[in-house]
Amino acid sequence: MAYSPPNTFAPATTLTAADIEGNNEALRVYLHGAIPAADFEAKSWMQTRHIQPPVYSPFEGLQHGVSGHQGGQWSGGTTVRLTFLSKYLTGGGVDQNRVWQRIPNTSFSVQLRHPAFCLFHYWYEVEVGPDRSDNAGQDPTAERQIWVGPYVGLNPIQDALMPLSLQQEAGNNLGTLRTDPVGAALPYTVASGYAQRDGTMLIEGTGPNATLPTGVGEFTIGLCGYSTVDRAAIVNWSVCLETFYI
Amino acid sequence: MSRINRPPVLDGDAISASDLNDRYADYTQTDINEFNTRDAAVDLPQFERDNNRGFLAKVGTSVLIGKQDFYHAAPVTLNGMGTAPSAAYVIGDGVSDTVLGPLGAGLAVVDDTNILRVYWSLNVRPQFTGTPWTTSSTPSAEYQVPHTSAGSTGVATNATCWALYLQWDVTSAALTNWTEVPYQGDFTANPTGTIRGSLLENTAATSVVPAWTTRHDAVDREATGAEVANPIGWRGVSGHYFYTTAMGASVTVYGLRLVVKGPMHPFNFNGRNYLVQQPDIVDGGNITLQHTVGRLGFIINKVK
Repeated sequence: MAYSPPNTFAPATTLTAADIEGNNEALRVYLHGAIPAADFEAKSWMQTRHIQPPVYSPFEGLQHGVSGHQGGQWSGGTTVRLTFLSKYLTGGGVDQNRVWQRIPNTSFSVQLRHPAFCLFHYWYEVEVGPDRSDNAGQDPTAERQIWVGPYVGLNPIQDALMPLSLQQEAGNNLGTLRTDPVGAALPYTVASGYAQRDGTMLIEGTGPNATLPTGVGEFTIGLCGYSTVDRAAIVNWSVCLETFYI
Repeated sequence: MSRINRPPVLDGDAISASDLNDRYADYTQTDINEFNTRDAAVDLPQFERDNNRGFLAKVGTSVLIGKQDFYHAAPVTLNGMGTAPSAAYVIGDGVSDTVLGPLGAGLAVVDDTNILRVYWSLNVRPQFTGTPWTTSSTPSAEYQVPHTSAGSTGVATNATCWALYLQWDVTSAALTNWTEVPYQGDFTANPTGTIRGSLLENTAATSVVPAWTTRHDAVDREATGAEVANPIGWRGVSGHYFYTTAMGASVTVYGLRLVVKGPMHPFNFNGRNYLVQQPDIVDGGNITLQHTVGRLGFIINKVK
């Protein structure tokens, strides 16, 4: 039973110290150990997830605290993780067959415990091509390129969503010899087949601009790509994620 | 979280029965439950909300800019500017400008407790016809490499570029008062009387895209062979800008937009480095910048 003052007061009656002290004493008793169990809601309301210790996830390179996630991973260090794109996985360089593919190693999967703002940063360095293959249906060699950008955990990756925030790279080194000696006639750096790109994608979990799912639960974001070049070597890259619980 | 919020009794206050009763009634609450403890005592203070926004990320949003034509069916084409100073192109969809805003009053307030972080990207393709770098101009788009004997060979500086930079409106939601963000010039400064541009220290919110890259096929280890221009092709360009009150006054940001000028070229004058317009090398539509789609977004982070 909740605290109930033993004495109530009425206008035009004598106020006594004993009545006041009586109420105070009853309150002291109640607050200092006499709160009956019935005054507490029966089910447990404080759970482990409400006291969040910081967590560091070494594989993802992320740390998680009470306000969100922060961290990133990169291609170097003790385990070099070179990665790639190839038209042979994205439709053979024929527009009608266009398929987006995740780029290996460049994604995060985190548990959001509250709706959040997510800010994804990425950077990559790439050698594109050369590709002078003449299979039918392909773009002219000078028009072949790769597109790289972030995706949010949608499976399969939806082509219609990819233009939301992409950086693209005009690759396909054309300074290449097909006859003996086969190979690059010029360094990639002057033949447009080598570059670095970077970008960000901000995902708002609430409000009128919420276009992507960022609700509580598993949230996956990473890099994906589409290529019309036979191979693109992503020799260095990094991805970084910030989530801010809102 | 429920808490008692009643002024104390002070000397000279009249004693009334109802006041006394209320003071004791303050302690009669029976709903000691998850809201009063878990949510109000633990969760909400950690995820403190400011106008229903986040504690660390007070507000953030982004919009598509440019033309949503990712596979280049009919991109927007901007011609090089043949006069200086010229008004900047606003990135749009070919019909109207694409801007971020108007933001609601009070929504994006940058004060000494937070920081504005702005990010943008755009897919572009610089193009040109002929060899515009050989056209005489100041600054020159070409320099002469002396031969070991007599004579010289002209080589493009490959520094001609397009400059994309950030503007904001901090006046009203009408979005009719666009200005460059602090530490970003509008490339109209006139250091020589004829050259228009901005000091490099005033390009804090600028991204550049090369207008061309060329190479010389070497002959006997000298650059006497033909100069060959490589297609730049489609590429992504990106940039970012941060603003705090250490850089200026507290502001309410009503809108952001990306604008572009070009062709531009580095220029040194009186020991100062500028990025300036290069109108003399423009001949109609010989130098263009195509663009499709990109994104412009911002986030305001609490810093104290």
